[in-house]
Amino acid sequence: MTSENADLKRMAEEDYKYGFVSDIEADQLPPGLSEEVVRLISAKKEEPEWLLAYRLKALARFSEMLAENGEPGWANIDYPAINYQDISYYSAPKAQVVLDSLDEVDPELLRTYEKLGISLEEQKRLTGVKVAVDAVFDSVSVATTFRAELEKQGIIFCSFSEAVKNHPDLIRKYLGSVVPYSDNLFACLNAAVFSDGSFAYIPKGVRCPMELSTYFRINSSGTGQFERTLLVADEGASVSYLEGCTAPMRDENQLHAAVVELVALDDASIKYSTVQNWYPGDKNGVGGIYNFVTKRGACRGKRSKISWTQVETGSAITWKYPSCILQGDDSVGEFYSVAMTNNMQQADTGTKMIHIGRNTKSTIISKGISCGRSQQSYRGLVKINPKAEGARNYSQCDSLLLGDECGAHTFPYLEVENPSATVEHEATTSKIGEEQIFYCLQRGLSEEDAVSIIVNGFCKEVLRELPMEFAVEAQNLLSISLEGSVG
Amino acid sequence: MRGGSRGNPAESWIQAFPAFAAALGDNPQRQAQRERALAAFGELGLPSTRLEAWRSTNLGTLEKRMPPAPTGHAPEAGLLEKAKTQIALEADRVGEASLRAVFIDGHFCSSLSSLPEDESAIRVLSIRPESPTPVAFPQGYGELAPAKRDAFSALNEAFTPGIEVLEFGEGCEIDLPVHLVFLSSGDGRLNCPRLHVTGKKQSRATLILDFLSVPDGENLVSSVTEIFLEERAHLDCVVAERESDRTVHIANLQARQGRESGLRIHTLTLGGALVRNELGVELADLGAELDLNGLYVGSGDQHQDNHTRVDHATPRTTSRELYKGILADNARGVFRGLIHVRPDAQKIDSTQSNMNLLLSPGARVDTRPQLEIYADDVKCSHGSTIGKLDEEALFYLRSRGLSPSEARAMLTRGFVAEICDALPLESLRTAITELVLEKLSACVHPGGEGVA
Amino acid sequence: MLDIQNLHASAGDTPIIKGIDLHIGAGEVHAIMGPNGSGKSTLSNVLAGRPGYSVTQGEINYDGKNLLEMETETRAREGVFLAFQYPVEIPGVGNSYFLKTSLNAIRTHNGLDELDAMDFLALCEEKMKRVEMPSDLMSRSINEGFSGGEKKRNEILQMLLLEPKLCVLDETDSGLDIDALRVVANGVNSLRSPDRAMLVITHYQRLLDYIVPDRIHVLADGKIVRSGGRELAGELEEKGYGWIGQTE
Repeated sequence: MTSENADLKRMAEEDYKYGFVSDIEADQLPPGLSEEVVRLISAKKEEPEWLLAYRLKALARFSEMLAENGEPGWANIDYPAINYQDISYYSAPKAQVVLDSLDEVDPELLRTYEKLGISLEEQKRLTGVKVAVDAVFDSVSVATTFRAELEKQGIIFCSFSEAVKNHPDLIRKYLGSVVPYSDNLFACLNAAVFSDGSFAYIPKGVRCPMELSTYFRINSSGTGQFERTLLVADEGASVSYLEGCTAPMRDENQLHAAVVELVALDDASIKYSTVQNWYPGDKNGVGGIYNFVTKRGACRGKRSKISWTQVETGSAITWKYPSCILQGDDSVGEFYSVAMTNNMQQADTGTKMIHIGRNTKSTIISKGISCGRSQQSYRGLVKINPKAEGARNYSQCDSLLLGDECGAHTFPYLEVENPSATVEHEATTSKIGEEQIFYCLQRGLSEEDAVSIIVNGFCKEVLRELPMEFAVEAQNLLSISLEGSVG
Repeated sequence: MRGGSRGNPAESWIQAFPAFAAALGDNPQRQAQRERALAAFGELGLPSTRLEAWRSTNLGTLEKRMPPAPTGHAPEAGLLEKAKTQIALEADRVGEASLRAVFIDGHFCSSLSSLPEDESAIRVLSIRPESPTPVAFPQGYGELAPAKRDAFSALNEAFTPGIEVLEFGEGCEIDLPVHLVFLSSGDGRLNCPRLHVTGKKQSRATLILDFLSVPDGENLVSSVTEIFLEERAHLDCVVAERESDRTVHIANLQARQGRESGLRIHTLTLGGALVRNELGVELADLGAELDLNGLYVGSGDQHQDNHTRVDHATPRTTSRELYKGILADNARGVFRGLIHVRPDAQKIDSTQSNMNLLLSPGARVDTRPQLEIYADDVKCSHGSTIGKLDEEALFYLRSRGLSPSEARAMLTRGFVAEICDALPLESLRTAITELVLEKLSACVHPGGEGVA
Repeated sequence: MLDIQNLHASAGDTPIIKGIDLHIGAGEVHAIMGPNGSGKSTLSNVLAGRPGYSVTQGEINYDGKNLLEMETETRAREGVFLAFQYPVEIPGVGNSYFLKTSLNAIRTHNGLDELDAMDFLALCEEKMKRVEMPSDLMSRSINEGFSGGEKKRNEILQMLLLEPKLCVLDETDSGLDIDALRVVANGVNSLRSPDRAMLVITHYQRLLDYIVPDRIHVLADGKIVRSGGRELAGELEEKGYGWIGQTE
């Protein structure tokens, strides 16, 4: 086993696959956070007055919160305090893109996306499986594909900035309606400085004919990324949305503080899938992204459904709780998560299911894999409000430990205020089965492959929730992230 | 633990301390110890809900109706008479004991106690103001519940009349249980019983900590118990909390287990307006085994909070935890159970389960099972359920001729049976089960709206 | 004994039984057969009064009384016994304690004295021999950890103890091996008497080799589509349920 371990160690020390830096000229603000910066961002985006006012309100609250309580202290993560004045809050590729016309996109940028495996060109020609992509590079949306085809059905899918210009009523109605600007420190920061992101609106009764997808890429040094995503599924509408993220290798820590808001009206359903592979830092914990993200969906309508699926392998620190507010009677919330941490990574992730409506149902399946010297926590809240007659929840949180220097922690909070509710939570923590590995080795598999298939099996319940084209990517990611963790 | 209270509402206790200490007349060493604890208490203040550990338990009502500090005087003769009646009524129900020690408002009451003649098995080495100086402190005293760690341990150390020290001798096997009765005799008192228990090598014993009060007495009880089990010692410890439903009881019980020792703690919370059980066990040496059983049954406006922490500090230790709660009327149950596995504590087997029954629309429960695992070769699991009585089972029973209320009562009893059946000694099991069933009958009302 | 007239019933909001007429006299054993989803189990649940099932039309007369007006437990005390298809596991409640409580509830209802523990145990032991049930099952919790066969024997044991007037057996044969089936059938047959009626619900003919019915009814889509003597079972075995549809 030792020689295999050595091989694995070597492989682990290989570069992060997406760690290249693209040489693209960027229009970047100098570091610093102030009212002036917020005004500048707003002006660059030619925003209406009300949006600037919203940003300024958020900035004021952010400063207050930071002064009063500092960063949220309850999560099981450890990092030096962030100096918010050291971050540049705006970076955009200089060659501006005329959307819907890929010909004018900076060729270097297109090559970057090719390297990431997302060919924007290809998107035009693809038949069969269609994925409409909105690519966000640093802070700015650079290209949205398939737009015309979507528009025929009345589906709006565009960058957030465009939506502000072209669909101000929708934005005004829903922005901050699920995650208020004052929700938490990072949401507050995002509301003040968000630069771009994606917006989608699926009109009444429309089933979105293809997967909508956003690819996020942090490229420039010294920047943070603060994108904002808003999805609205009107009555009877349904949509599946994919999100992927990568960043170059840098020895600095970069902050990613995004906000995602989902709104599902009567009978609407939204499936939101994430494969998060931000740069995790090197094996000694130098560099990597701080992924401090607020994601929340509101099942406002009756029989509405919101389903979160996430595969989290990247980031130096992950702090993320995609949640569902189950307001509508008979609404359904789901959370499927695989989180893998290696080396010095830290993750504190989970969900909140807030049951308000009658006969609301939620399911939580969380699989955590800790390797190296990483620390991982599941943290989840299931709350059954007094009026949530007949509510049901089932949660299962399993942790797998690979290596004796890592940690796996489980912190569920179950709060039930209605006697007709049924809430069940189960959790297990164990090391990877020696018998299972031995069995695989005996059948000729390498130890690395053995671990890989066992881990994939462990995650199967979650992976099968992913759309096809993402599932393959996710499995590969898990295998890559596992490297060097056997022993 | 950081204190969270603004403007210390416990100021009056601090001010009353000199008079208390003077009346008690302790030796200088004890006096200094008390003063240090009092200072720690002043610094910590009463915990607020802003502390994670007190998130679900609000001491706000307590702060408004703070009992005065203890006077330091032993209870008067009149109270003793009343207490005798109370003990005859309640304590005797728990049955015959090889030793019974009665503490009234924390003061040892020799006339109601029966100490064994042979001291080889059970030794009582209590430290009271009248004890000779210098006092020999028991080994490990204050290590598990140090005053500086939390406000109530500090409060207890400052105001306890004496430290009751109990030792089970090496190799002894005690057939009858040792019955310690802690009675709150009055109304509007702060009582701070303190207990230190050592199970010497290979000793085997059963201990009952029986918390009682006069009916309707509105008191604050801040009890602290430290238990040390040496190599291969075995102890069954039954904690029965059956004080009046106006009592606030903060019970801190901490234990450390030696090599291959076996500890079983049964915590039955039946009484009290607000009860908080702070229970921590350190499995400090190889092969230690721990069993935690808990039952909380709440009716009316009772608030029952169980906070347990199982610390697997060494490899090859095993723990099993089962807590069940039944909440009726507007009662609220809280369970926080932490399983902690330290780095390098390999080969750990640990399970935890918390099951709750909500019997009425106003009842609620918050449960937080937690795993904190820093070693990899472990098998740990927890499960938690919250729900109502199983409708399928209710129908089954009714289809065999039982009325809805009989069926509900039978299922509720079935729910608690697992906890009651695990109690040690048949006589004790019978006696305690009876107490539990009495309490249950107050919860399962005939007709029971919203239950079926 | 049992007189069902134009019965329509729903499970939740879904209509399942769509007009059944059935008359079972004292001393008779009737069998109901039918494919899955035909309404067999719904009928047994309606007879026992399971919550969630509602009768939308029709009447059920039992021993001269309106069955549908009675509570679940009243039906049991009046002598209606349902042997469950899936007997419920109830942890923490001792089997013996439960049976004694049940028997005494029924005895009290019928103006008899309650049995004390000794008498009950004696009675119980005798009946247990008949279903070849190991005695340790009595000291365990109701059905908890019982094998499929043990659960069904426990149902029959209860039937022997409670001596009901109307026995409804809901797929009692499912999940039984041949030995267990024989034991269960012997138990049931020992209860056959001129003042007792039985309704045996089953998917397969196999059980009817052991418990020979006087009449067989075939249920399809909530209605009785064929009734006949015991020879009907053989026909069904040979041709399957598809044949029922064709003959209509």
